[in-house]
Amino acid sequence: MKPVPLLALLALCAAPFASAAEAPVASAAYPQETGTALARTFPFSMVGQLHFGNGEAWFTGSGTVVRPRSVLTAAHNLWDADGGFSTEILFRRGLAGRSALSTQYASRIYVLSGYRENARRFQLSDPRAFSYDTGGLVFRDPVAGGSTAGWWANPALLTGAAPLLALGFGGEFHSGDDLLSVAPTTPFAPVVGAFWDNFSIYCESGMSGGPVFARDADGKLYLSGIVVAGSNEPPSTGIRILDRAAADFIRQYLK
Amino acid sequence: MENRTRLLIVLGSLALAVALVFLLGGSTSVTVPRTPTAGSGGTSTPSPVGIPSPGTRSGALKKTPSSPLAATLEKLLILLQTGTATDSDLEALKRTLLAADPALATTAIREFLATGRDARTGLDFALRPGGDLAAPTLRVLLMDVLGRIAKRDGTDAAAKLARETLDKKDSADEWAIALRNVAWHAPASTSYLATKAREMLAYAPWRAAPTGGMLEAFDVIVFTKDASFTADLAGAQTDPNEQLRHAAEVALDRLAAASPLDVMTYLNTHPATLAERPMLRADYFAKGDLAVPGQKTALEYYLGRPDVAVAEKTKLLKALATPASFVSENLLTAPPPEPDDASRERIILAATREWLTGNRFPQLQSQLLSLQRRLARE
Repeated sequence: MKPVPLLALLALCAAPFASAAEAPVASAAYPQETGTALARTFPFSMVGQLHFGNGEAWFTGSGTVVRPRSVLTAAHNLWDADGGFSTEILFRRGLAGRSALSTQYASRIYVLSGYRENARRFQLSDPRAFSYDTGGLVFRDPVAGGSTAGWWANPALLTGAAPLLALGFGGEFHSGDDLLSVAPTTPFAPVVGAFWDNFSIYCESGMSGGPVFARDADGKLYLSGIVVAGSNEPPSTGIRILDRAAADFIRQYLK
Repeated sequence: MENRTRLLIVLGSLALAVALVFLLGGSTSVTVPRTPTAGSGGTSTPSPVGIPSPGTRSGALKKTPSSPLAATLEKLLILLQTGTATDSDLEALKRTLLAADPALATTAIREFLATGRDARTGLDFALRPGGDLAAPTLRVLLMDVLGRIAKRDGTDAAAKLARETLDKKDSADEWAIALRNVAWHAPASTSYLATKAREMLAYAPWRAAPTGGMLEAFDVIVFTKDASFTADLAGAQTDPNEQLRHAAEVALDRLAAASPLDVMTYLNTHPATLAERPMLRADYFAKGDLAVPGQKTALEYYLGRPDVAVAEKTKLLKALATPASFVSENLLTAPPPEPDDASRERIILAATREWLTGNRFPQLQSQLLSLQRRLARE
């Protein structure tokens, strides 16, 4: 097992409406706004902002439409050890500033049980908890008119030379209402279980649950991981890769 | 000269026989005495039943594998004992046994288990995606395969052996598989399963150092839907063993989903339970089905309780609109059927209107109006 800067890793949901801080350094390692046009181009148009309550506070995160009525995201957007399950979860697909391509409240939440067990046993920001940091939302109506982002439980996509792109609605150094992207310059590497990391990029709070897209040999983009953790000094991003367990979860519970 | 030749032939044959027995696992020098539980820290005592003693070598010499399957088992035992077995070897054995004639496979497994021999696989007891089991010992692996064969073919072979296993306390991991095998064969025997699950929970040596199998066996409690476990599970959440606490919490959550009225009633009559985690308590009540009169009454009682803060009740009302579940591979229980969320929303909306019209919960008026708007898509 590779050493991990445990204390530096933080789950990346963000409190909205907080004023955006100044970005530490303008660097390719930090996420930048994609612009409305790209944010609304497939498959990036399948990514959306999650706005939800937990306990007595409100947060934002990110998610991706992977089945016609379902969104894949990070478990820590959906459940907290003290606050229990999140409530009033609004998904704003293709959000750009104040307008979105579609908005809808989730009607059901699913979370991998291993996340709760490991979050309780260790702590929320422990790699062993991040290794299960996967959840899904089911909606009453199709989220994107029946369209979905492609996904592939193929970790090899994350370790080769194929271009990668992490996305989400970062609210730490940005408003949280615009899609951000950042491209790793090195492959991801396993840390523990399905938790992998990358030291060439940083993902802001609020990007949690957003996708990591990888290109296959034909140039097609596939969701291959979920952004779950990050540290800005030094830059690092942790993801929960799509493996067989994640694929089974998507097939069995997300509609 | 002839006598010397005969003697050499006899000695040679003996040496060959000893070598064969060694290769086939009959040698006590490589036989690992069966331990009660894999990874238990040796807290329970091994049973003497069925463990070959050092003096049984000559007996073992007589016992050659009774079939090709038995020989395969013996070979794997040696590989495990010498630390040279791989995951592929374990998977190959499973495939071989599952593909073999069921009667022959059952006989080979039963005969092997009767010897009491065992070896660790190096794996932790775990359920893999798809329900496949990572078995910590060869015996657990074989009990698992026997259970799958019996389930597939509708025989009682695995259940019979399971009940024998459950008559003594050699291994918590074997108990876990035995409970599953009984449930697979006789799903209606919930009373027996509950008794054995309670026995397992109460057994101090296992409870002090719970194995992976014991933690997974909490699913048997969920399977029984026996709400009288609520008190045990709630009590276990203060157990000094952290892993046991987590397993109890998960089981209580899942029992609440399987038997919501009983859990709600327990929480209503034990107001101190989960009082320090009010938002989690609200989640338990959010599993209630308002179409069932008893559950609706229990939920209304909770909403009217003066000891429950408005913030907690608010959480419940919000959570009603977005039901939530943890999902996992379980030892025994199947994933819940696909829910009918549209119907559920209609029923909650009707109840919300009723509460508003009757001014049933004045403190929660604005929250109920908000819930009504959400569900009515206003």
